[in-house]
This record gives sequence, structure tokens and C-alpha cells, in this order.
Amino acid sequence: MNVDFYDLVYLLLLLTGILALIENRIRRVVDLIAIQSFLLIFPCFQVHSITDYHSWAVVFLILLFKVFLTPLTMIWTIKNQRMSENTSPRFGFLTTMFLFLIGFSFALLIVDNLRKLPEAVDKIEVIYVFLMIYVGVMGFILRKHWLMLMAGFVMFENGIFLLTLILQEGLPIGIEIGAFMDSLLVIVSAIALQIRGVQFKHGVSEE
Amino acid sequence: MNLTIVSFVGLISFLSVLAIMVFTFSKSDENIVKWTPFIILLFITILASWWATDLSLQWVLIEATTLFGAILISLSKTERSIEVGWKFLLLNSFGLGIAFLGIIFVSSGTKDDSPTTLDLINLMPKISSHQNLMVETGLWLAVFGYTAKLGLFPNHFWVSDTYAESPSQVSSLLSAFLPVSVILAIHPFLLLETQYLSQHFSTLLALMALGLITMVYSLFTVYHTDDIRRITALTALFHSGGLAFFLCLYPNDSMLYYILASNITVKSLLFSTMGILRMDLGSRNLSGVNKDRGLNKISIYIYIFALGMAFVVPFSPFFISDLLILKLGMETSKYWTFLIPILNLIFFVILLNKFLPLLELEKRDFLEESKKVLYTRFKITLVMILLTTILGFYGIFLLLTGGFSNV
Repeated sequence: MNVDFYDLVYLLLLLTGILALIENRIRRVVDLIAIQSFLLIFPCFQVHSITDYHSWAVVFLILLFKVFLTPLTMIWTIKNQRMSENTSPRFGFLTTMFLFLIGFSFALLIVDNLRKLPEAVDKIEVIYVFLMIYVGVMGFILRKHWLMLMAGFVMFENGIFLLTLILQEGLPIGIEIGAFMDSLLVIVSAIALQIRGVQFKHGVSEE
Repeated sequence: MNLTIVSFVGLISFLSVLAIMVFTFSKSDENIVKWTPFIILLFITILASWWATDLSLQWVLIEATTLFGAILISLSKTERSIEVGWKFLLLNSFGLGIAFLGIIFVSSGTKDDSPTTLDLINLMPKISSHQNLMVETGLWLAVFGYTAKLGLFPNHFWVSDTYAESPSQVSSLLSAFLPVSVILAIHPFLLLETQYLSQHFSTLLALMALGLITMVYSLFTVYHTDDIRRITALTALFHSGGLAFFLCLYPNDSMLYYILASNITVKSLLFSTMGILRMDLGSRNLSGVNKDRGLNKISIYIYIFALGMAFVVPFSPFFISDLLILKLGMETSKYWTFLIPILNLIFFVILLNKFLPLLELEKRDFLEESKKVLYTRFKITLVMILLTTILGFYGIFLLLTGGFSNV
């Protein structure tokens, strides 16, 4: 019964990723990112014990960086830049589905070669995680709007975090803080670049 | 030669670049003093990544440099620099994401019941008993991901744009220091691969091929380029390819640290002298140079000297590195490594062909409006010239006294 619950969580993680990939409304994508990030909390207790200090520290980091700070930063930018709500993808649904099927085949191939997984983790869950990473990569390829690209990056990072959790059973807490901070700073850098770009759209240089 | 000396050389080069930036920044009207803590933070992060032995911590630090770098590129305050900053941010973050995936694969593939940390000393003995596809894929993903940060083919598109559109001091910092971090990050994975017996594909050969393709790409591109900034950027890219190639010959620590120190000094010098020449010429395109404007010979002499130091001057660190490549190639019967010095020579001849005509321009002093800035830059650049020369002679000394022990 326990395993079924986690299967559902992993499936939801992937589905929120797919929805974010095909959704064209910016605000909705940010909401989906926040939901996906929140779902990351559950696999922590699949790998670590509920009484383990490390698992609660990771949950705190997920809540702080991924569920609150990252989406809030993105929402602040949407408001600050007065962005248009609608975006359009670079390619249509058919291309997206074709690329997804390619990734699905590769995920099956890789997972087939996996030797040792934690007892609680099922192979199907690893396939979902690989697809989550792949959906993030597809975000880079298929989207044009810069905030959607960053959303793809967040999904990619979420997938890698989950894979690290499954395969490595987590990293030392100091490094995990660094990794969480890094992914948030990528968003901040992107926003800073965008804001600076608007500020000096017609700048000139001497050198 | 050891990491302490590399760090010391790095510190002097960084202080020189920082001094040029603080006292003579002219790329835009940005208040550069307020950016100084940010730039120092970038250097500290880079330095920390050199000393980090834990592969995942090293990754975190290298990723952090991407964030600082992207913002610093935008100091040019042009629309183009923002696009380039974006390209830098996305390609590097994406590449580093793949590298992290590789690190996790390697770690997971070598996992056993004993507690482990993600460093070379712990992972090395485990590889021989964990010969699986996961480790092999992990090694390849880690190396390939990091090559994006190094700017190797096929992720080379950000390099020439970034170095060409950033202020020359930012280009100095990024081109001189980042490749050192990346090479030190890739090195453990190549060492791990030596313990891996049943290979489907060789990470080493792939890296060597990527390095070589990058060098040839830079060579062909520089031939068609007229823009001084882009030419210097392609020179830096060419050397990044060379660094990857050098790494594939399994140099010992002394050799590796020497070539990394060379990279720091020569690339800092190259971009600093380019900045002086560019300002004095009044045009970034060679074809757009106004012949009546004239040129202070100091600016072209030091730039050509810097190019020489990057390729053929016998006491230049890169020349010594070429000798090391040849020695390593001969020792391992890889005689085709002769190709590298030949490529270097061709690249240098192309550059000379582009820049020698500037010597015919009428001689004059620096123009009044930029005189103070350029003389200050020139004086600070002399420190870099001195440092590069000392490193070159130190290399000769090491070569003659057996300091590069397995040469």
C-alpha cells in the first residue's frame, strides 16, 4: 500500500511537469512549479526515516527554496515587469509528443540497466524521475519566453534533486543547502539580467 | 609546482585585473566600485572550487560562478550583453546540471555498504569492483557537462560571444580563472576512468576529440574574423581546447598545475592588452580602423607580445606547455601530438597576418581623452607581463632540473 502511494506521488510529479510544459499561461506555470516542488517533500520520507533529522532538514529546504522563494521570485518578476499572461511555444504539440516518446524510450533503457536501488524505490518511479528531468530539458528546447525557460530549468533541477535522493539517498546537508541556493540564484540572476536589459535597452559603450 | 603556487599566481593576476577595473573602467557608465564586492566574491568562489576535494561541493561552487559571471557580463550595459549573459547562464547551467547528474550516477554506481564521501580518494578503489554501465555513463555525463562550462564543442557558442561582449576585465576573469576550475573538476573523472576496464566508449577519447574540434573550429573562425575582441575571444577558446587535450595525456600534478597557472597569466595578459589596443585604435574592427588617427606603438607592441606569449615566445608558459605535450606524446608513443604545436603555429601566423599591418600606422602618443586611463592600464599590465615572464622562466627551470618529474 505504501509503495502505491509513492507511485502516485511520482506520477503526479511527472504530470505537473508535463502540464507546465504544455501550459501557455505564465502564472499557471509558476503555480504548477510550486505544486511540483511541494510534492518533492514526500519522497524524502520514502528514502529517509520520519524520525531522521536529515529528512526534516531537507523538507525545510524544499519548502523554503523551492515551494516559496522560487515561485515568489517569479511572481514578483511577472508583476514587476508587467508581463503578458500568455506565451506561445516554439513547436507544436505533435513535436512535443514526439520528443517525449524519444525520452521515454531512453528512460526505459537506462532504468533497465540500473543495478541497485533503495529497497523502498520501485523502477517505475525512477522512470518517472528520468522523464521529469527530460521534461525540464524539453522546456529549454520547446519554449521561447525567458521565464518559461527558467521554469524548464526549475523542473530539470527538481528532477535531479529527486534522482539524487533516490540513488544517493541524499547528500551532506551543507552541499544540499548549496545546491538549493544555487538553483534559486540562477532564477535571481536571470531576473537581474532581464531587468537590467530593460533598463539600458539603448545603451552605448566606449571600449 | 602545486596548487598553492597556482592560487598565488591567481591572486596576483586577479588583483591586477581588479585594479584595472576599479581605476580605469570605461566600457559603460556603471559605478564599478559598488560591484567590487561582487567581483571579489566571484574570485573567492573560484578559488574555493580549486581547493574543494568533494566532487559535489566543487560542482556547487562552479555553478555559483555561473551566476556571478552572468551578471558581470551585463556590466557592458548594452542590449547585446544581456543576450550574451542569457546565453552564458542557460548553456552553463544546463551543462552543469548534466555534470551533476553524472556525479550522482558515479556515486550511485559505486555505492556499497561502507560509508563514502564523494572524493577521488574514496571513489578510486571502488571503481574496479563496480564495473557497470551506470558508472560509465556517469563519467561521460560529468565530463561532457563540464565541457559546456569550458566552452568546448558542441557547447562553444557562448564563449566567443561572452568574451567579446563583456568588459575586457570581465573577459579576463572568466577566461583566465573558470577553465582552471573546470579542468580541476574534470581531472578526477579521467583518473577514475583509468580504473574502468570494460568500456563501451572512452570518455578520454571523447574529451580529446572535443578539445581538438574546438581548436580547429577556433582556427577556422579566427581566419574569417575582423573584430579584435572576437579574435582575442577565439584565442582564449583555442587554448581551452588545448587545455582539454593536455588533460587527456594524463600529465602529472606538477605539469597540470603549471599549465593552469599559464592559462591564468597569459589570458589575463591577453585581454588586458586587447583592451588597451582596442581603446587606442578607436574601432573594434580591423577593417574599420581610421588610418589618419594613428596609434601609440606601445598598445600594438604589448598586444603582439601577449599573442607571442600565448603561442611561440620561447620563454612563454604556453611554449613550455607545448614542449610538455610533445614530451608526453613521445613517452606514450602518441606522435600525432605534434599536431598541437603545429596548430598553435598556424593560429599565431594568422593572428600576425591580421595585426602586423597596424605597425604601419602613424606613431603618436595616447590621445588626450584616454591618455590617463591607458597609461594606468599599461602600468598595471606591466605587472602581468612580469608575472607571465617569471612563470615562463620558472617553467624552463623546472624542465631543465627535472621539476616536471615524469618528463
